[in-house]
Amino acid sequence: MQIKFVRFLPLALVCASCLTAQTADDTQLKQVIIFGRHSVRAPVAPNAYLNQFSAQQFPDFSVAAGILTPNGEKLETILGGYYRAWLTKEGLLTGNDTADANFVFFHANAIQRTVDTAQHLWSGLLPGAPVNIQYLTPSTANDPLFNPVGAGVAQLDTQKAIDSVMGRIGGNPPALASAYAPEFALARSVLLGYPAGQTPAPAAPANLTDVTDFVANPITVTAGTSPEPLAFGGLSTVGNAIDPFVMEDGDGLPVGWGQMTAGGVSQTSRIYNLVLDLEFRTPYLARVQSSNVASHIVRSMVQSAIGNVLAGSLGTPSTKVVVLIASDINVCGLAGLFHIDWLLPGYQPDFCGPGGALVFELRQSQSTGEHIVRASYIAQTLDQLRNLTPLTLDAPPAIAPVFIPNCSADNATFDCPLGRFVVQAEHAIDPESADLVN
Amino acid sequence: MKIHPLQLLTLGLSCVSFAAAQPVDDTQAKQVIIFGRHAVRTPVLPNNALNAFSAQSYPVFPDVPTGPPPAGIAVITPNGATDETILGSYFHLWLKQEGLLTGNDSADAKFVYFRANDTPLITDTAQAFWTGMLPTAGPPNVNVVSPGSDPLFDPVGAGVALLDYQMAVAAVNGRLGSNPQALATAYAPELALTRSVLLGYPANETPAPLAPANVTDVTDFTANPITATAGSTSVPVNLGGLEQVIYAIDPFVMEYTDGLPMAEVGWGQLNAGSISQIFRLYDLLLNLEYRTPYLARIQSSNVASHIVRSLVQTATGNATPGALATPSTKVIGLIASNTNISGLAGLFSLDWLLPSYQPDVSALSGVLMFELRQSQSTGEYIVRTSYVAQTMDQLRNQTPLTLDAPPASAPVFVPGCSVDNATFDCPLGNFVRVANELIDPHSADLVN
Repeated sequence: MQIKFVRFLPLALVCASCLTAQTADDTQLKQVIIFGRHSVRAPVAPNAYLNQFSAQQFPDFSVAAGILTPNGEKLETILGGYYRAWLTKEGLLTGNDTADANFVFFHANAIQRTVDTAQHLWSGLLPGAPVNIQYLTPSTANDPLFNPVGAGVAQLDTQKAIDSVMGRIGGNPPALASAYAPEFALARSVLLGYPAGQTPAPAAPANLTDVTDFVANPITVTAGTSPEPLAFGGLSTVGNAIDPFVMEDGDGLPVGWGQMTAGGVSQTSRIYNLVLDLEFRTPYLARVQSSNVASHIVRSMVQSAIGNVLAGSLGTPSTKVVVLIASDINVCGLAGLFHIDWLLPGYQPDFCGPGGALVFELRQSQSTGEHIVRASYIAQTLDQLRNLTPLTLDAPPAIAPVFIPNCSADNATFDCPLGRFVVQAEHAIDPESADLVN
Repeated sequence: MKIHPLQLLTLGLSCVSFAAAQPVDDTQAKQVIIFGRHAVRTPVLPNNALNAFSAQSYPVFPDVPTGPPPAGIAVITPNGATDETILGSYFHLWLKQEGLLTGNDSADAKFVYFRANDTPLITDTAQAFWTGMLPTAGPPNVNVVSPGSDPLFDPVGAGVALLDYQMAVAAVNGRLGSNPQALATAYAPELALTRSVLLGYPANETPAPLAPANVTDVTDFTANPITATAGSTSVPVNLGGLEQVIYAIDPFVMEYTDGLPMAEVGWGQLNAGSISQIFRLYDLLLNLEYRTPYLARIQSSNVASHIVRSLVQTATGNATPGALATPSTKVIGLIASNTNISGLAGLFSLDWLLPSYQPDVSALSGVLMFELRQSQSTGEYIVRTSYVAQTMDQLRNQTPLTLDAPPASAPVFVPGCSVDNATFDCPLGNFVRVANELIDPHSADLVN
């Protein structure tokens, strides 16, 4: 499929300098697009699989593998409540939930944890309105926004994907073992149950699989299984084994059998971040896998700015709140496509925390009429997750204003003129990997 | 200043699919551009300044000229020069194998262009490399821009590019949630390791001891916060307390690679693995200051433009504005700093990984290399990119390098261009197109 890109010449949206000239923020929020990850879930691999990697049994999350936990549901409703307070203050919501719901568009990936997340976010955002989430069925369906390759909208050249990753690591995936040795050593000590830094590190018990034994299970780069385009051999196994730690922390459980601090969770999450970076932020992969959602986000903002129905948009021209709920792979991919980075307290750079979202605000200057895009990354901190901390405008989640390269101005919120954002999107998006379906 | 992007439509250089279609490599090297970092050096601060940060005195590098500063500060070490000549000797062998050198050094020198940033460290590096590559060609012929800033390596200082410092600060802050201080938590393991080495206690000691009263704890970010403020031409964004950390750790990799006794490498507390971990902090600073898209575009467009135009000049055989040397130049050596190499890599979104190093490290003496090659069957030109550097142990042990025992080498994928063969070949026409999209024409000149 191929799309023609949005053309904005008739609109006065390309003023690059208007923002730097204005000192006070006279912009008004017209639309917000929230692109979020699901909240806290049980590990994606079942405990029966995970337990072969650890001296002690992995804890029971009370729900099946990959399912949103009850705490995850509560956390998402708390987050929705924060967005409600913020969007009411910004004038996008009125407090009349039933009326407001007409201007809200929710779309979630088909799997349980993303649908459930969206439902609970809605419950916090519009508690007085019936939940209305758009998603595909069955849960195995490939949503073109979140898995455009599986849906047939985008075509991934698997060999090129492998090469584009190999060409970032010198064609030598095993070298990652030494580059990330401190993280693998920490993960091993937690999994096998000995103090980090113990020298020499003890041998793994015979009945366990040492996931950091890359001689037995080398780090490689090969074709993956949808929705994961690649597989990384031993690195993927480590990723599975450490995946529960962030969720244990966020769910309020003992973390790493009581051996892990928040710092340890953050440090081991570097391994997870590495996999996401290679698999979804690598330029070729980001371009193929994230162009469709990027195109729809950009077109939705343009649709709202011009007030006319636009092909390839979400909602309608009068939609004020667009919420897309998917996974970290999706949020990372979009960030990679636009070269955007963030850092939130307690997390590693670019980490997509449970419930975290890339937020794009379409705002309009009240003095000049210009439209701008203001991007941020918003997520509950690990402590806010763990403690089910209520969120208010005075006690918000962590918020990182985000600079959009080649677009943002140097004001405090890094505002990006909409016209220029469209130009950047034209450069970044592969038209062959996006459709014009609304 | 403004340049017009190269137009290659008249050249048959834009065939995208040929490289993927050809199973065997029938290409021949026509030109090689080597963009390298200086060799092992002494620290950039004198020991009496560094010693404020450590419980013990920093070691003295052997056989380095001494005297009142700046004597002996940030100069190549004798071992560093030896390592650089070893690397040059490897390139002598490899370039001969590739047919770009003949073995007649004096004759070959006519087709070699070297240019170095104008500091003794870097010109000495270039000379040492030349000495290895063309040992009998006579005195090294290294071009420098002097006095003043070299537009290739410091285009802002030279007035070729204009850096908006406020925009630079915003571009960095906007990667960090406007909260640079949060880096202290994100990099806590590396900062804790740094502190333990500097203050001289075991890495896992709990609780960590207080800093002695006479020592400045560089990891005390309450006293000296990590910030992002306007810098200068040499350091475009000032990162506050993080800068001081970098000064303090910078000597460790030099101690190891210069071959100092292990008892003098981080006072006996560091090995290759922990040096690699600590240097994530240095990589972080380079990433923020030079790979951030706005900064890469302003600071690296001119050298990128000259590299691309030089490749085109050789492919076309016609003198090209903004190219280096002449159409018949076969080897171009550009020697500068890790800041320059990181910036160029950032501009093109290039990454690499070599054994013993962290991802994207611009190692001592390491080079980002662009080969211009021509298919013998189709005549097409391609660019083959790689990153080549001696490993930490090859540097430390002054390991002789041969074609059978080469330095570490990482083939590099050029996004938007490389095809999926083993060497990630990138058709020259596509390389020019990608470069035209990335290079800021206002930050590059057409001076040859």
